[in-house]
Amino acid sequence: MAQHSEGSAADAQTDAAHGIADDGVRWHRSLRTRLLLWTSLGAAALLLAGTWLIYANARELLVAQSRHEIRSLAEQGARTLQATLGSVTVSAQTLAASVRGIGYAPRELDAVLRAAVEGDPDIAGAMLILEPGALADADPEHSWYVRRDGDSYYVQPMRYEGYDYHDQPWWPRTVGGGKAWWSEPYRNNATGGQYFVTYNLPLRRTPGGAPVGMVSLDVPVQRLRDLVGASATDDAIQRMLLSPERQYVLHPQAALEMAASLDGQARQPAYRVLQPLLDAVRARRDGELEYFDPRNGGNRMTLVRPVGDSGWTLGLSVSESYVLAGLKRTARQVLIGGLVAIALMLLLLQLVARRITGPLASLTDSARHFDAGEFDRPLPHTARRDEVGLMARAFDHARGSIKAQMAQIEQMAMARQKLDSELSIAREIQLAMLPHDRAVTHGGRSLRAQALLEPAKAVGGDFYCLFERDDALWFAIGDVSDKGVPAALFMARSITVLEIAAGRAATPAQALREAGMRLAANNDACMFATVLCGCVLLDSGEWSMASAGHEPPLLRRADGSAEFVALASGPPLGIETDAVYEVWHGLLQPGDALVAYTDGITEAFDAQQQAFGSERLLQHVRECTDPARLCACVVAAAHAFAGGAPQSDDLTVLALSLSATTAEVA
Amino acid sequence: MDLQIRIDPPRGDSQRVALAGRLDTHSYDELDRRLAPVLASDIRSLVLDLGGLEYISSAGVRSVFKARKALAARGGKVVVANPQPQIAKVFDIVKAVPMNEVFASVAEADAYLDAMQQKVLRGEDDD
Repeated sequence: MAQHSEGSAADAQTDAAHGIADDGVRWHRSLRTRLLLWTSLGAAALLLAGTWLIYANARELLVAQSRHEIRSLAEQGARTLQATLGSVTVSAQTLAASVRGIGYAPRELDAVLRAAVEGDPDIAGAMLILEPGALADADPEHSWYVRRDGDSYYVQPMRYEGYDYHDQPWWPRTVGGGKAWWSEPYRNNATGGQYFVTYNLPLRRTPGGAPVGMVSLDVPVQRLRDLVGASATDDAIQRMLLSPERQYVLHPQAALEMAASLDGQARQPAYRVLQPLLDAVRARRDGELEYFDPRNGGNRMTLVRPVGDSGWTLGLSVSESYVLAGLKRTARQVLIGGLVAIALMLLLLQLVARRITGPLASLTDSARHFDAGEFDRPLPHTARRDEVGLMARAFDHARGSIKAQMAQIEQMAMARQKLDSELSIAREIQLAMLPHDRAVTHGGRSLRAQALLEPAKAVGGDFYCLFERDDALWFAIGDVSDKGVPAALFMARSITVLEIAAGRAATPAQALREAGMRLAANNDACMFATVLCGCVLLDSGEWSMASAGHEPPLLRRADGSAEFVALASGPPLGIETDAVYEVWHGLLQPGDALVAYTDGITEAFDAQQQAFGSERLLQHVRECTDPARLCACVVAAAHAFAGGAPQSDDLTVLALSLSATTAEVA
Repeated sequence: MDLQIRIDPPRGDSQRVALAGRLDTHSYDELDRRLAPVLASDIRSLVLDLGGLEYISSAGVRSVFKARKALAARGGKVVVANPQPQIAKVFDIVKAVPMNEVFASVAEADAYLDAMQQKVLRGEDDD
C-alpha cells in the first residue's frame, strides 16, 4: 500500500505540473491501484488455498502415520515387557522346582535363592517361605529373603522378633488363593526404599496339592520403567505403565506416579473421556481413544495394550499438536515466503503498471489539446506495437476524422450561408411580384386595395395580384399547396398565368378556367393553388367573383356588420383541366369592404393546436372600425391568438374598401 | 409528425387506409411514402378512412390529389369515408375528391364501390 500512496502522490504532482489536478484520477479509482489490488488479492487467495490444501493433506498423512507408529511402538513395548515379566515368572517356577528338589537344606536353599537373584539382572530380590513340614513331614519352618544390595547381598528371615509373614496381606492371598500374582508397587525398609513389584508364586509339595509355602521375586519398578522408555521425556510419544490395580507406575506427569490410578483419574469430570480406556484396561483388551485433552487444549490419541496375562498395562499417548507442530511451522514458512513473493510481484507490477498508465496519461494530455482545438499537435506513442499504440493510432485517426468533419461542417456552413443569401434574394424577388396597395378614384368614388402577406419561411406560396382593366379593378388572392421553395416557384407561375388569363377573360370564372387549364398541364408534382378571383366595377360598385377551392371572402358593411360571402367554389387550379366555375355577383356600397384571406389566418394555431377559425376572423373584422387598417387588424389578431407558437403557414389578407371621395361630397 | 397510418390488407381490388391525427406539411411525406407501394399495386379503388383525422393542410390535400392522379391513370378511384366536419369542409372547398365520392361511413363507401364494380361488370357483359 505504501507503494500505492507514493505512486498516486507522484501522479498528483505530475497532474499539478500540467495544471489539471482538479480532474486527475483519484488514487482509489486508478487502474494501477485496481490492478495491484486485485492481483495481490488473487495471489493471496491462491496462496492461502494452496497452503491449506497441502496442509490438510499432509496433516491427514501425518496423523495416520503417527497412529501407525504409536501402534507399532505399543506392540513392541508390550512384547518387551511381557518378555521381561515372563522371564521372571519362569525364574520363579524354576526356583520353586529347585526348592522342591533340594528339600529342607537351608544352606542350599539360600544358595538357590541367591543364584536366582544373581542370574537375572531383572530380579532384585528373592524370597522363600516354607511352612513347618512343607516338603517332608519333619521339616521345620524356613523363611529367607535375599536382596541385591550394591555388590553384596542383604538377607533376612521373614519371621523374627516383631515381624511375622503370617500377618502380611500377601501371605494369605498367595497361599489361600493358590495362584501366582503380581503385587502392586511398594517400598519399605526391606526394599531399601526402592519401589519394587513382586511376583508371588504358591509352593506345593506335589502338583495339585495344597500350597505349603511360597516363593516370590522382586523386580525394581525402575527396571520396568527403563524397559518402557521412561527416560525419553521429551519424546513426542508419552508412555504410561499401569499396575494390575491400574495405578500409574509410569506417567508423563511425575506427580501422578505411584500416587494416582486410572480409575481415580477417569472419575474426575475433566477426564470422564478416559472411561473407554479404563473399560479396555479392566477387560484386558487393546484400547484406543482419541479425545480432547483439557491439559494442553489439543487432540490427543491414547492407546493401551495389556502386557500378556501379567495384569500390567502399557499405555502410549501422542498429542496431535505435537505431531502437527512441524507441519504448522512449515505452513507458516510457506505463507511468509508466499507473502514475500507477492510483495516482490507487486513491486514488479507497479513498475509494469507505470509503463502502461504513463502513456495513457500522455494520451489524455493530448486529448485535452484536442479539447482546446489544437488538432495539429503530434500524438505520442503511435509507433508502439502494443495496445497503447493501438489506442494512440485510434486517437490519431479520430483526430484526422474530426479535422475532416470540421472542414466539412465549415463547408456546409458556407453552403448554408450561400443558400440563405439566395433565399433572401428570392424573397425580395417574390415580394416584388406583389403589387403595392393602391386607390382608384372614379366617378366620385374611391376604391382602395390594400394587402398584407407574411410568408412562414423565407419564401412562400401565398400571393395576390391587382390590375385595372376597362374601368374595373381585377384582383386575385391565392394559396399554393404547401410552402417553401416549391410553393414559391408554383406561386410565381400561378401569378403570371392568372394575370394573363384575367387580362383576356370576360368573367372571373373564365379567368380561373383558363388559368387552371394552363397550370394543370404537365403538373406531375400535383402542386395546386386555391384562388379567389374577382373584379369590381368602379362606377357602380358591382362585383363578381369566382372561387377555385379558396376560403370564402367576407363582406363588411358600412354599419359595421360583416358576413361571409357564401359562394360555391370549384376545384383548385392545377388539378382539373376542364373545371367549370360559377360567378357570383354583389354590390359594394360606399363604406363597404370586401376582405379576402388565405388559410394562414383561419388556421393560425396556438400552442394547444387550436385554430384561429372563421368565427374569430368575423369578430375581428367587425370590430375593426378603420377600413384603412383592416389587414393590419386581422393579421395582428391572428398573431396575438397564436401567441408564441411558430407561424405554421403563409398568411395573407387582401381588403377592397369603397368610399365616397371628398370631391363628390363637396 | 403525429399522423397514424393504418393500411389494411387489400380486399379484392380495393384497399382501405385509415388515417388519424394531423396530415400537414410535417407528415404528408410519410403518407406519400407509405402509400407508394399501395398505389403501385394493382388495386382499383382506395378507401381513405378519415375518421381519426383531425386536421388536413394543403400539403395533405396534395397527397390525396397525388393518390387520385395515380389511380385515375388506370381508371381507379380514391373515395373518402367518415371525415370529421372540419375535414369535410376542406374537401368541400378544395374539391380534393368529387363530393359524390365523400361518404359518411366506410360501409357507404364500400357499397358505392361495389355498385361501381357491378356497373363495370355489367358494362363488360354488355360488350
